[in-house]
Amino acid sequence: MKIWVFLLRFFLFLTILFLLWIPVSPYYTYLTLWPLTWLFPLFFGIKPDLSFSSSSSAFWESAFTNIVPFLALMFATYGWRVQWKKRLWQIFLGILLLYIFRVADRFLGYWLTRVGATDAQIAFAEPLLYFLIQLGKILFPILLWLLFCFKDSPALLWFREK
Amino acid sequence: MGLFALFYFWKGGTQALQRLTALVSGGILKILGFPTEVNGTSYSVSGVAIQIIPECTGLYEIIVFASIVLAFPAQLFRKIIGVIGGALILILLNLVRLLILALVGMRSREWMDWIHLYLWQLTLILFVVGLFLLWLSWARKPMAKAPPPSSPSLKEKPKTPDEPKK
Repeated sequence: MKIWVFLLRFFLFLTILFLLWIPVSPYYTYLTLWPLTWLFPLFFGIKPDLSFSSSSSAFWESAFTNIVPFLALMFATYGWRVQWKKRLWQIFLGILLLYIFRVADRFLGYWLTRVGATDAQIAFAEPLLYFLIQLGKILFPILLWLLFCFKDSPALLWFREK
Repeated sequence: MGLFALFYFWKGGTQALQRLTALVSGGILKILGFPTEVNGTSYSVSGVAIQIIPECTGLYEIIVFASIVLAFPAQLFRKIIGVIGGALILILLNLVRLLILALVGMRSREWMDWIHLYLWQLTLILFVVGLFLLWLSWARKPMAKAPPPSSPSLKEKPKTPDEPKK
């Protein structure tokens, strides 16, 4: 029974956070592009054109984030009353890691499409980019949640006790 | 990463999956009575063109689910059943998602974009987590084996009055 309660909580948090994320997402997009303004001059000596407007395409791109499912998983998991400080730190760390992954995939994406990478560089960077974008969206939130909550969460422990 | 690499470099397999997804979802819409035309990895239904890209096949959700199940300590046959069963359920859910998208797209393009965003990333993660937890609860159950009737339980040790208190 507990598993269904957990999934219901997860679904509710997912929906609420998704709706809350919509107005935030353009700012998050800007935040993920900002490091490129100093990373590109540092590595390649060029300043990329990162003009950002809240047009629909930029919005849709930014809206695809894995922070929402990560937060929903963390909020849906029991144990907040007992260890809320630890949970807050885990959420902070998780968001930071997801942000770094997002910056990394943006860096690779701009490098491949705008700087003009060589064939050898493309052969190295393209699979990495696909991995970060396509699998990272699903894998990273689940992986971080399992890493943070697996050992001390009753929601995940119940099957071990039985 | 191994599963991802397999499908990343095996382009033929991914394309075949895209074509199959387009064929099946287009076929279901045709059976339901909607004028549908399937062309390779895309199909159009009542003026709505739908292109099946690798993400639309549910492949990445299956890779993530299979990776978690395979990495988790459990009996091999339960892992195999978990991967096959989970993959089939995720494929079915993905088909349902595509059908819903096509039906909504016929009414409103804007709503289709929203539902695509919501159903594509978020709800599929919910299903991956849900399936994993359900599999875990099953995989952790002991095998159905009747214990010998006379064997005393090792865990339950009778307490004696002399036992020192901790």
